[in-house]
Amino acid sequence: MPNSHINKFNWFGIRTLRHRYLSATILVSIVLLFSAYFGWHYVNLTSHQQIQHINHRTDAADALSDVILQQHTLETSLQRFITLPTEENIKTIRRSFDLFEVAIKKLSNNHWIKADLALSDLVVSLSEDKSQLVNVANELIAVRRDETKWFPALNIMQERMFNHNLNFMSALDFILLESSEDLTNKSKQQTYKLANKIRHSWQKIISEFRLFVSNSFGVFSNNPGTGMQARKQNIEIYLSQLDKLLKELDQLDKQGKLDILSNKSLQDMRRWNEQWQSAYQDVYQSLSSKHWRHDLVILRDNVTPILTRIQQRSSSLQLELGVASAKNITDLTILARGLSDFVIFLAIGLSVIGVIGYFVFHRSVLKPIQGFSSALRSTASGERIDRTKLMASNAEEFQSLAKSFTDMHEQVQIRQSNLDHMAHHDALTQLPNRILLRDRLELAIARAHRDNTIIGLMFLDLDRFKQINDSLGHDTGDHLLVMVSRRLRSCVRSTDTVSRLGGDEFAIVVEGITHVDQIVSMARKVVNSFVEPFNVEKHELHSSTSVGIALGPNDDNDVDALIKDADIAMYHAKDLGRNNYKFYSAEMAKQVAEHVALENKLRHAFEHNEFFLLYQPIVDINTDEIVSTEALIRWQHPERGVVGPDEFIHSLEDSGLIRPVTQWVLTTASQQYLEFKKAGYSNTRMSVNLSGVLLKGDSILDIVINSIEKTKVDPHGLIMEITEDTLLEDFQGAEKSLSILKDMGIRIALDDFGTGQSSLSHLRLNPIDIVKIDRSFVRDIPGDSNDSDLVDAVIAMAHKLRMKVVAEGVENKEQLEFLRWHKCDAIQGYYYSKPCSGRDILKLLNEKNNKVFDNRKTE
Amino acid sequence: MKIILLLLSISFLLGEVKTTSASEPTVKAAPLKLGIFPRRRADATAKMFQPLVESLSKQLNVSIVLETTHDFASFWENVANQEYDIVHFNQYHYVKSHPNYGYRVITRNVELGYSKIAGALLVRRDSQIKSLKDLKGKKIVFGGGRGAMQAYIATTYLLRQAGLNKGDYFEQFALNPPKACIATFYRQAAAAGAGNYVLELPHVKKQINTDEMKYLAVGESMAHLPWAVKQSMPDEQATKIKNALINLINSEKGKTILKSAQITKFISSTDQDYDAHRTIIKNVLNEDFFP
Repeated sequence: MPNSHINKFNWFGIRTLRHRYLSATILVSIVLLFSAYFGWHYVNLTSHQQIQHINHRTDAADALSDVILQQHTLETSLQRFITLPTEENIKTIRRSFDLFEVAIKKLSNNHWIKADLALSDLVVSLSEDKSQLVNVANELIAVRRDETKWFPALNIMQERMFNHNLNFMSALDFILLESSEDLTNKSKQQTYKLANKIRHSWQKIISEFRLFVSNSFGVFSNNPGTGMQARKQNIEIYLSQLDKLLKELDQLDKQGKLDILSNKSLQDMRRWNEQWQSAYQDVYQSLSSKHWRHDLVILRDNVTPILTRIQQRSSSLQLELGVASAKNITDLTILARGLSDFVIFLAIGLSVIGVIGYFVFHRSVLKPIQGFSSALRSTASGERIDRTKLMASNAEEFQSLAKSFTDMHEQVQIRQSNLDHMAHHDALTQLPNRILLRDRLELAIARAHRDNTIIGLMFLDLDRFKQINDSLGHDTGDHLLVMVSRRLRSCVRSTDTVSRLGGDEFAIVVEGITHVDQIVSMARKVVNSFVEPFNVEKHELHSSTSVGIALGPNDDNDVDALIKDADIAMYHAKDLGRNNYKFYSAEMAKQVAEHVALENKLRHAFEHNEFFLLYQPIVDINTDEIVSTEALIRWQHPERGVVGPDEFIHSLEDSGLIRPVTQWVLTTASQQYLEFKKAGYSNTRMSVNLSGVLLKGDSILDIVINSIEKTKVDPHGLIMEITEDTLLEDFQGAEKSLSILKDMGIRIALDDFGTGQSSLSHLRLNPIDIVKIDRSFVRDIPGDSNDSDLVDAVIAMAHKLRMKVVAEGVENKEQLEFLRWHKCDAIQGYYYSKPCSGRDILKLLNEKNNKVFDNRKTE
Repeated sequence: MKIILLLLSISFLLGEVKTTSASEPTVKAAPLKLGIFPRRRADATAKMFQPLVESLSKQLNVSIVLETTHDFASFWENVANQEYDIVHFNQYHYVKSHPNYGYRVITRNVELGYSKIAGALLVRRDSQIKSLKDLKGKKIVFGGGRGAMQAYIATTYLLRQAGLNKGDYFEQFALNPPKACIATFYRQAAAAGAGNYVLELPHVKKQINTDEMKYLAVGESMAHLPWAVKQSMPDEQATKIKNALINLINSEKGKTILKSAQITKFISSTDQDYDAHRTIIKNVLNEDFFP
């Protein structure tokens, strides 16, 4: 299922993370590079286009401003020319047209204009406007320069009215002349007067007409129309008067008062008057119309519309320039916005890629790593691994890693299982070790509480195992331990736990006990299991065990306390004698506490010089000479007084104080020996007791050498006493140390011989010089035949081994005699002297004659 | 030599036969001239209306020549000379031509679904101008020249009605109404004078974001661009032309022709439909074209 899920994201068949991320990186890089390139290209292209547009538009604006300028110049020039039609003004107009042409050409060649067909058309129209303007301007110039074309009424006046006026006046003059020939004639006088009136009226008509024409130019008023109208009315009034006068003249003619010639002049006058009035009407019509000045007509009807069109087209072009400029700005703004959007898009894109990348990374790397982490944690905490977590990625690396991890996990499980076993089991016997024992004991205590039952914890070790190990080798010892473990397992139920704590120490947890008898029975069974010898490598080994038993939760509820209790009980069992079992009691604990207190007191005592030495002489049985003195340690207890070594030697050994104390004893005894020697008793040796503890290793050698160097004592004057058990505990170590001491010249004495378990081989193999028969054998001789025979045998054996024999505890003469009879070499005991100070020994030496001894005997 | 002469004679006779046996309709009448006012570029106009001219020619069985001019002066000169038999006018030039040169309307355009059009003043939406009175002292750009019926005359009428007279604002002219609108969009003027659906024109929408523009004021809807015939044209022929134009919408081919001319359809129209224009023209330009 997970695989099918994974396959949906198979990355187009790319199977390794390296290739996937490489592909993704290349893809993203390509996209970014292409985006950047296209962005750059687009900006470059657009900005280049915009700059080109701006340049072309600037050129177009420049050309357009020239067009507008020339348009204004033309307008002004034309107006100036109308006012003042000089050649100079004509040249100005021509120049303006030339420049106008240049500006339009410049405009039409502009790229920006060319790119827009509508604008091109507009410029073409401008050019056409200009051509039309040239034509109408030429027409205007021509009209303005030709006064008849410029002022059409003038032609009427010159061609018609002028002649009519002259003819009219000529005809009138003829009548006047003819009537004036005879003014006495009443008829002629009447004609003369009437002709004069007609002359006056005509002159007024002509005068008013002149005023009428002048008014049309605005000579008298800003409002020419009003003046012209007033003059027109006057002319019409005068014409009416003239007509009336002509009628009166006509009446005279009908009465026959006019001559024939005057009659013809009257008819001429009538004709010229009518023709003049007709011309006047034409002039009036001309001056009243819009076309009274042709140049203005051309200006208004032809020039101005073209100029207006040009102005409008220029305005449109200006507008288009403005629009294009605004468009450029807008495009640039859009470009800038586009760039900004592109940057934002890019940023968002990168963020999205980052997020997607993170999720992909999370999915393809982090999640699998978490899966592995989780699997590792599960492994660490011993839980079952969820394999789907390991298969969270289909990447080859993770598949490989998952496989490696699974393999490793299996190996680790196997090793862990082995380590667990090793950590909780003894490698030799495969029994649970101390750690597992504690666990099981803890569980057993809990169960006992829950079930209201008892648990028993047995502590045991093998008696004499060390001797076996030392004498027969570790392999034999190990073999023995394996066999012991089998026997112990056979003694208990399957629910019970047999554990090896180390060395020859074992423990057994017995659960579900309802009565103490059950544990007693099992303890006996354990002790009895050692009765039958162990056959190890052709050796038949006899061993026994001492069992200490603590009961939970009666004795203690705590694991450590229970173990301690069982341990205490085991030592008490040992103290009681081997091959035994002992239940823990509160008294035992009390004794242990006392032991600890004693150790503290002993430390204090050593630091405060509470120890002192007494010396007991050893006397040659034949010569009664003091051949040596045994240094005996005493403790001047501040409360109890003098305390013997039996009460504290074990504590000194247990606490480690035995080494400094022995150093002190040896040094002090050596100094005393030197005093004896200095006093002249050079044959008297000094004997010092050594603890077996010191013979383990090189401790004793260091102590002895230190003392010798310190006191400069002759080693030949020293005797070291050891007990039989010392030899048993570490035979090889003791033999080595004793040999070195002997080589130094020190003699070795075996103290308390007979009480221990040393074999004859020990005597034979060790460099023993003197055997000291224990006082327990001497006490009942010669009365007790067994002891007597034993003492005799020991003396004989020692002598056979070329050893001197000292009998200890000699208190009476019978004992002395027996010993002398059996050729004991020397004696030590109250019979001669109890232990005393060095000074007292010196006195004894001074009084070494027999008297002293006799006196003592008497006492 | 004889053979050559014989062959030539045969070929001549065959040619004669072919010519005389052609079944194609022969155009007997004098060609009609169709003029279109320079609303667009001359070449664009020719391209747009050539299919219509060909269709009309075929239906009327009359040769029709399309004539375009690149400016109003040339166009108007032709009108004044009554050179056109059929003319597509703008409203101003139609009402001007009717009393002066006798052209009479037979049909009119429906464009983008509108059979009527109104003058409209447009401003930018973000403009501070809220009413026509706010345009006092501002620059207004009008599409086309002073002869533009909707873009100038009708919009100026709106301004007059709002109490703004000549000199109360600056006048500027764009090449056409769409350009006026675009200029205003680019803040070259405070307002644009155009038609009431200028913002719907595709090429306007293409160039600017029309959402940023709004109609400040829209005038009275008036008859759209007219098609007129010469006064001397017989009524029967005028009716044929009118029917042919109106019926274009009824065939697929006709629809294609209309699409090419960017016209939705033609509808019947009379001279009275342009009285509203005359009223406005009289008010604005002080030109009386009432019959």
